Amino acid sequence: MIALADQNRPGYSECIGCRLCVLPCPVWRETHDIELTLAGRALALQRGVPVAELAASLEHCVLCGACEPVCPVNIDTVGMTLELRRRLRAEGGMAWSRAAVAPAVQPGNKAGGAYRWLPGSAWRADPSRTEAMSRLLLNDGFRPAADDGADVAVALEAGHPVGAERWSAFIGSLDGVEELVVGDGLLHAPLRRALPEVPILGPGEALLRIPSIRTGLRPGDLYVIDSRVLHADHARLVRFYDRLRVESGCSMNLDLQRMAIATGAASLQARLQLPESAGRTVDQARWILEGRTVTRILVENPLELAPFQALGIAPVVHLAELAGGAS
Amino acid sequence: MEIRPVAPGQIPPDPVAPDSLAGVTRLQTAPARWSGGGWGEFVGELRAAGVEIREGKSAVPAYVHDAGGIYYGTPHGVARAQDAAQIAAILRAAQKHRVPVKVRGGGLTTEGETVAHGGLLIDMNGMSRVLAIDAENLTVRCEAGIFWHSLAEGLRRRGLDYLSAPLNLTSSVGGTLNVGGIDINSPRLGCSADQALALQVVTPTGEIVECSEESNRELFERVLLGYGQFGIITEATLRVRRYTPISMRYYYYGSLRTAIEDLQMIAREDASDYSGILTMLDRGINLLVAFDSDAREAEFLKRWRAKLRGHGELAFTLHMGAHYALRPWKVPEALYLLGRKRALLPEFTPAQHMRGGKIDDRTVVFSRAVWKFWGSRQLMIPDLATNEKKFAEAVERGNAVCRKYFPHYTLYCVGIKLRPNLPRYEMSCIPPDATDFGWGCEFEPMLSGSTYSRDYLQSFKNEIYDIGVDMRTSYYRFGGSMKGYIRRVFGDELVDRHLAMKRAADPAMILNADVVF
Repeated sequence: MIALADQNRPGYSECIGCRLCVLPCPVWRETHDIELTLAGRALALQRGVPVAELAASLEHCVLCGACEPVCPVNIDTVGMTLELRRRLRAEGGMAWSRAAVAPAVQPGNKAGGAYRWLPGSAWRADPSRTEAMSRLLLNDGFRPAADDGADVAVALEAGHPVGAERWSAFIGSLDGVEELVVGDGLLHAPLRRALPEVPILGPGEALLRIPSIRTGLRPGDLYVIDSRVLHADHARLVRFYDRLRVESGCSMNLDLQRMAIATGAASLQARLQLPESAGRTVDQARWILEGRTVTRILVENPLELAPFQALGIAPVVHLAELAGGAS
Repeated sequence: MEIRPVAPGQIPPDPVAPDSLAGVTRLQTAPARWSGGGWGEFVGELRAAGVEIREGKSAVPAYVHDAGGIYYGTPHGVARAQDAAQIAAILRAAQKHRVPVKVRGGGLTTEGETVAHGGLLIDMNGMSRVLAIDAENLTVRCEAGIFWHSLAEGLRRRGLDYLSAPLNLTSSVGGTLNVGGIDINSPRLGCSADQALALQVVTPTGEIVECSEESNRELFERVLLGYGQFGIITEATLRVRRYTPISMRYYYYGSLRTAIEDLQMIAREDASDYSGILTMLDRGINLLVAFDSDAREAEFLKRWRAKLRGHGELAFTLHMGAHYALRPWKVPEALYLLGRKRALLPEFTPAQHMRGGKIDDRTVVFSRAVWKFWGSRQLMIPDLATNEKKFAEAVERGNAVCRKYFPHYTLYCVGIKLRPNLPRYEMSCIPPDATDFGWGCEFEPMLSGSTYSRDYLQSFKNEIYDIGVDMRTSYYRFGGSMKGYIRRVFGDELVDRHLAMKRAADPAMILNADVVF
């Protein structure tokens, strides 16, 4: 099995209990229950609480990754949570995740090449949108990858083991790559560890290279950054988005710590449509909008269209729709 | 050694011998764990009333120590605060069954004040909502368990901000109002507790009372700066202000006393909106001033800059270079200071928080730097709070203690504007002989990468606190393992008077026992 947490970074034993990870946590915002947060899990493990008793905490987590950049000790919080989910599942927990189907590697005329686009399961759920995205990225030289690792990402999030052979095959399929656009933010960190010389972009950053999209942003827009993508590369991307904010005048779903407030719509719980998820994602979207006056909402992750559309406050479009001066 | 039992409500003999003023190693232990008599009936009664009490191994890990990381204890159970009615039911049952109740917000105490040694722990973070924002009158009503940072998130959506709060993001409103709350704008705005306009309090006997300076004032004055002895704050109405980014300037000094004198002048003259001193050891002494507006900054530069005896960065660097050139055996110290400066200063101006040379969301910027560079599993932050006249001497004496115990440390000095003659100041962090301003210094060793015994750390803290006894000061950290100092500093008459008030308010003495009484 592959190691899920970065072995070169501190683990839960190094947690100092500062609780900074609690502040941007969507689960904390909803419940104010420390046990359901990363800090609660780390402190519980330090006291010898078995993983099985952390089930509620692990299963609430939407893996937005906001806890990671704020940790002053630099714990790989996402990796730690994925590892704990795997252990919990091995002990019989994570029953809800067993419904997660690992999408098969798609056949088709996909070539290799130095620049590849890995859509992932969220994008693949909307084939026409993925096709439109692929056409836009093709203009920039990115071609859809034969193996986008969608099954790997789902397995990671669901706590299913990812065998070394499958992981090697996935990484091997990316041999010779010079730059990747990866739709699933959960894959960014493991890919960066496996391919340290290869720049990994999220769809948003890739789309913003297209002039008509970048110049299409305007004041009055709320730009919803994909939280998993931002937090996997926060030190670099926070400056990228800050420049964008100044340049365009748009507002963003950033909190005061400059973490992206996630709706949770990208989480496996939401994608499996677990009963509580829809209400949670809409509530998070409502919080993102609170106190703001917006004329348009732009999202990087297509899964975040629905919670904002449910509120009916402003038109909601995907960033790609700005291409060519549309929208 | 005979250990005599102490009846509830009695203050045990002072464990700190009166002649021990030289930092003699002493063993200040945690209070004995409550034996548990009555717990079953207490929990049964509350559960029958629908109050959830969590028990067992997985319920307590987040609460076994506070930020100080020295004192450990486990409650018998934990209740997450839901509303005032629930808190009231808990306290009524606790009085009846004589179950100790400890209350915790952010847990950022350092002397074990928020650690439960048996009994029930109430986690106030369960009450964390912003209830109402009045942008016209500049007030906010919030539940008291909310972190100041979370309050700021809500206020900022309306272009507002709280007035002042501790620089660590995860302190709670209620907890801070109980102890004071010092920020770098406290020389101008006072402590956080002085910004409270009204409180909802649940008394130790379970009454829910709304109080303010106009209504139930006596309770209001007891609860503010009251260390949780006279009630649990469940809601608070606070003053707020329009949000502004700040511009900041730094001046560097070679002498603590000179820097302190200039800092005190700035506060007296109301020359800046924010001010404080932050040091690396006692060599890199940085007086910072900051401003909410260009007009205030311009006035400072015109009227007060020339009076400051600090240097700009270049001049100070040259001065330090000459100092260490003449003292080559201190080169390691110079290299440490240089390395620290290079690592720390960029943290105060991160690009995503800078707009036109001004700092956006300064509490986030400073607090993240504090946790990154000073955070560790144990936080040692003993302090002294004095009047204006005694402050420089207190800081110099404390600095000598720091040098004695640790190779690396920081001093943080800030003033607190006081309102005249408030009863809440009587037995608190506000120095009893202070008039217009109180002055506080935190002495913070940098512990990361080193291991010290608890006794060593406690001896260090005691030696700082001993200065307070000798100079008749007060302390910001007030209670818990250092509560033996309270009677020595404030005297029997005042402490016994407050003890009598406590007994009247809390007949079974169950609320936050062993914090002060």
